[in-house]
Amino acid sequence: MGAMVLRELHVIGRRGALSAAICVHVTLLTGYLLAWGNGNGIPVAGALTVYDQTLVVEAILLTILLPWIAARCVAAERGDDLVVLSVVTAIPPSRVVLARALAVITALVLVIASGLPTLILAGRIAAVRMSLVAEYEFALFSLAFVSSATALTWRHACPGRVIGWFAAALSTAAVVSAARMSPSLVIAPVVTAAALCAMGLLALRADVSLRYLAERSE
Amino acid sequence: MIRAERLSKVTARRTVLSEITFAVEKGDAVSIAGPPGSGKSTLLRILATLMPPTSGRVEIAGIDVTARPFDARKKVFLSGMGLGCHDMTVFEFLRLIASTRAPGNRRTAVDVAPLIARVGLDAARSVTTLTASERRLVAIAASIASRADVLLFSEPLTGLDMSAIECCTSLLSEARARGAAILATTDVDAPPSPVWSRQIHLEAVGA
Repeated sequence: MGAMVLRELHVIGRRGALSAAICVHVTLLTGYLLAWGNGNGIPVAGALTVYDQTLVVEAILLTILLPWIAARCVAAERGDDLVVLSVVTAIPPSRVVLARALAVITALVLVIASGLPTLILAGRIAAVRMSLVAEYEFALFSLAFVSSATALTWRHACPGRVIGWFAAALSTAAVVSAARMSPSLVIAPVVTAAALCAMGLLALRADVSLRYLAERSE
Repeated sequence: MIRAERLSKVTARRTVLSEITFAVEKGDAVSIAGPPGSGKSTLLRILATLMPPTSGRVEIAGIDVTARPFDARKKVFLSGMGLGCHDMTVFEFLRLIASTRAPGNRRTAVDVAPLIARVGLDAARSVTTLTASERRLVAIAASIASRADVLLFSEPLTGLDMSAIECCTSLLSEARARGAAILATTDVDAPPSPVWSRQIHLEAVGA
């Protein structure tokens, strides 16, 4: 399965979307801090500190970027092609799906991690404890699981990438909204566990639905 | 290595295979000839676990392909019916096949670089940009890299030039020599090849 994960990472890395998303993420987040990082943040944003405002910007950026990468970067094979891939590699479809999920999660974690230096800087400006910054960063990683699970589920269910992107964007936005209302370290493990369960179910289903070519191919 | 007993396949439209029984032993190379619609491709797909038979029993290296298709896939390699990959170079595809099918770990995988040089392909080319005959060569190279006990081919030599045919013939002979059982479909008009030790002839069953 390691070879399959490497293959999926290769495919994701070759697409420009991942590096483009990291550049956009870092540029906009850093740009925000350079423009309004004078200690007060955007004046119209009321009592929020520059750190809190950076978190909002980060959440908005990730809500847009993560689902887009998850839907855009995943390898093109689906349906009968996945069955053939399973046959030629002798890897069960469930493991192919899991390898794909693992690769997408890795890519999304990279994007999230690329914003960490800026978050640390914003935290230092606003005199926020490092442990709080680290806590928020770990909570953000749960978004990688949500976006991957939704995008992959829709990728297997529907032919278009756009629907996968839209569904993943909605679910990520829902998690971001929920996380703003609850303590981040409370909701993150729940969301991550739910996403992992969804991916597990998707993999188990693949062993049945992708066992043979579709009847129309016969 | 391959055992088919009273194998039948009925689709929604017609009976494709009816009560076929045959066996292919270790080191044997058998060609399946027959007119279009006689079920050659369907037979290969069933043996490769791409589709289930309607009735009958098929064993690959002692494994029932209907009961344990994922175990059977480790013993068989089908080439010539799609590579299953879109986003890879020739080298990456062959390395993937070699490493996923290597017994134990990746260090025991076949070194694919000499294999690619032997079939005369550009390792850096994307598999999606290959011509039909080049894809055939990649598929044959992949079957060798897989080191599977049973190799299935769909018209492996069709459309290849003389040098490519010689190269593939030599690769298939080497696979036979290491004990692989080979089963390949051929066109009824295909010239005889020294690769095949015997031939199975299929007739169209009809409605």
